[in-house]
Amino acid sequence: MTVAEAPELVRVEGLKQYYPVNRGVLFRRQVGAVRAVDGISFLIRRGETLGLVGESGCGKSSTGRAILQLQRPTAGRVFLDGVELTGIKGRTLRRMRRRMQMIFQDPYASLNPRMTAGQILSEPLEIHRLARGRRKERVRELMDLVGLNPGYADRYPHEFSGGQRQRIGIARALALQPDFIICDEPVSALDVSIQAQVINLLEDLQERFGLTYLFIAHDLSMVRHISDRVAVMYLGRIVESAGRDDLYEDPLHPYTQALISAVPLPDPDLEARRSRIVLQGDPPDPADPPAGCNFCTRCPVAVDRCHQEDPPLQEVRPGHWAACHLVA
Amino acid sequence: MTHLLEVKRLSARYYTPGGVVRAVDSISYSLDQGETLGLVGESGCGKSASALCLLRLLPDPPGRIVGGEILFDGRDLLQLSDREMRKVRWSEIAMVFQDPLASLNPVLTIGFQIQEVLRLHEGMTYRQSRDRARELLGLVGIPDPERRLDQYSHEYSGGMRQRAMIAMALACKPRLLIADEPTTALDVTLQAQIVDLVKELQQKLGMAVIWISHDLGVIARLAQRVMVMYAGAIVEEADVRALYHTPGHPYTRGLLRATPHAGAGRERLASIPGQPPDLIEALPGCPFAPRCEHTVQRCRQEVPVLEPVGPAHRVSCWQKDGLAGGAG
Repeated sequence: MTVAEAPELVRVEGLKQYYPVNRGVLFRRQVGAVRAVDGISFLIRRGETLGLVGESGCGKSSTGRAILQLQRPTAGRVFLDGVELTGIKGRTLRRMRRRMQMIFQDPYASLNPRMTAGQILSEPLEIHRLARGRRKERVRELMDLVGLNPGYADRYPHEFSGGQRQRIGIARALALQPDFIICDEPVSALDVSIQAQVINLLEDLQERFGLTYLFIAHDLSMVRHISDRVAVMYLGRIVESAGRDDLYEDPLHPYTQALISAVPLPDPDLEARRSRIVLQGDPPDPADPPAGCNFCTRCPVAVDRCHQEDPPLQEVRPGHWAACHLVA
Repeated sequence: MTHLLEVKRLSARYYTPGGVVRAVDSISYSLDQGETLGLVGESGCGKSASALCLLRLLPDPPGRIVGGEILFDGRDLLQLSDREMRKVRWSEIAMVFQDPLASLNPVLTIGFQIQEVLRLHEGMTYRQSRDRARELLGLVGIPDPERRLDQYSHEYSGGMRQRAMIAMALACKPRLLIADEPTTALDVTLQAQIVDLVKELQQKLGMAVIWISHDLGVIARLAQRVMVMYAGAIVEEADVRALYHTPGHPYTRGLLRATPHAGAGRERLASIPGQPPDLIEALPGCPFAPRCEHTVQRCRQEVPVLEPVGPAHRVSCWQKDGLAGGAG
């Protein structure tokens, strides 16, 4: 069975995540909202890796947190294997949490410095009352799985290097044998030679356990390497999504085109030859998005219509979606 | 022809409670007028420390330059008095840092900070410095410079702040600009803007640039010559095309292979096993030997020296003759 025919595992419909903007000291009142995620929909099939790329502040991390219900979304629905996560809470939600886990960007901040590696890895097992009586063994198994010496279970996070710490984070995500893992910039804090080690590990684990990944990153080359399909976010919206090769070889949205052309390539001859689209200015404030298309303020090809009408995400070719008046 | 900058056997140490860290280990190189030198390496390899030495800004304590010469225009900077050295900074050699928010004073306007440099180093009056500061902001592409002069750093976006830092660095028309990861904190589209800006300004002003980065892609875009550092030492130095097409040192090849290339499929990334060495322990042989696939007995016993393998191409590896020429 290929990934394209596999059953869907995660479905996101019209997801919105707004953060209130408050003013005043004595009488705090809400004066607006930062639209971090502004109505996005997608689905991920079992065993697939969906890459979610975008620049800082585009809402990609908020999307990940809202899917796992670490933050309740403002609107929209999220399904995992047919169960609506946005409608459940308490024990039911906790039971679903076992099936979805997260790997965080900063292995320094996401591990408790006062717990040993062994305690960090057995905590999820304790919370979910799993592997009773054989937790020590399970911890050793997990450490072995991610390439850590099980003899180091009594060490504290500061005694590990950055790459090893990220391996602990991966082992913790695997502890409950989840189906779905959100990787939120899992390698961007690591050095190049270590990044490759961690990416290879994630790919091996996916193959071995049939894991499904949502891979969130700003590094387009890394996303291209690991993903089956890629969605590009800009200012809270998905502006384009397609199969990996389709997206990188034939990007349709002007933002995707600019983004891909801006990625520096490790080859001086290619660099000298290629033409680049350099965007002017900065992304607008998500609390005050422009009228019409979100990208119209920086778009090199915007026409009048772009400043008035918001383009919907449309299927331009089979499996290739774009939100732009000029390509539809 | 004499070089603009000639560094000879420069060594620096950090004296920490845990031991003496060999941050920079007897490095020698030169730089000509108007040339762009890329300095690549992973965190802790000594690339920033070696750049700080050039300005004698290595934090002391714990850091100290313990040997070598830094000849700038024939004068040894290490022999200058503090007073003379202050004249070299900004006027002759200027530096741009990774984090503009940490380098700018939050309670002074951007205009005040640029004008201060001009008044102190160029002896300008308030009027003259204000005119020149406005001109500089225009030069680095900040729109509406008159209004921007009176704003504070928090009112600037990330890309704007880095532009303001560059404007400040260029204030006294330095002959050498050191850029220490100036685009690492920025998104790709902004990174492309800053790289292009520095390239353009360099051509306009004819200054030499040392660009420090861990990103081989950025270096390929702008450097003429590249030096690769590992564990405080230069392991390879070459013309940019030679370095990317015929890397001579196993570490350089490893770095290039670990970077995902455009067009590459989902095959495994070649990672470099292990981690960089602890610079406190003195290793008897080549610092890369424990991670290198070509290690022979000699590598563990003798420290290799940087020797030519071709025109303007130097490699520090005992096995270089067997390896040179083979692309990574």
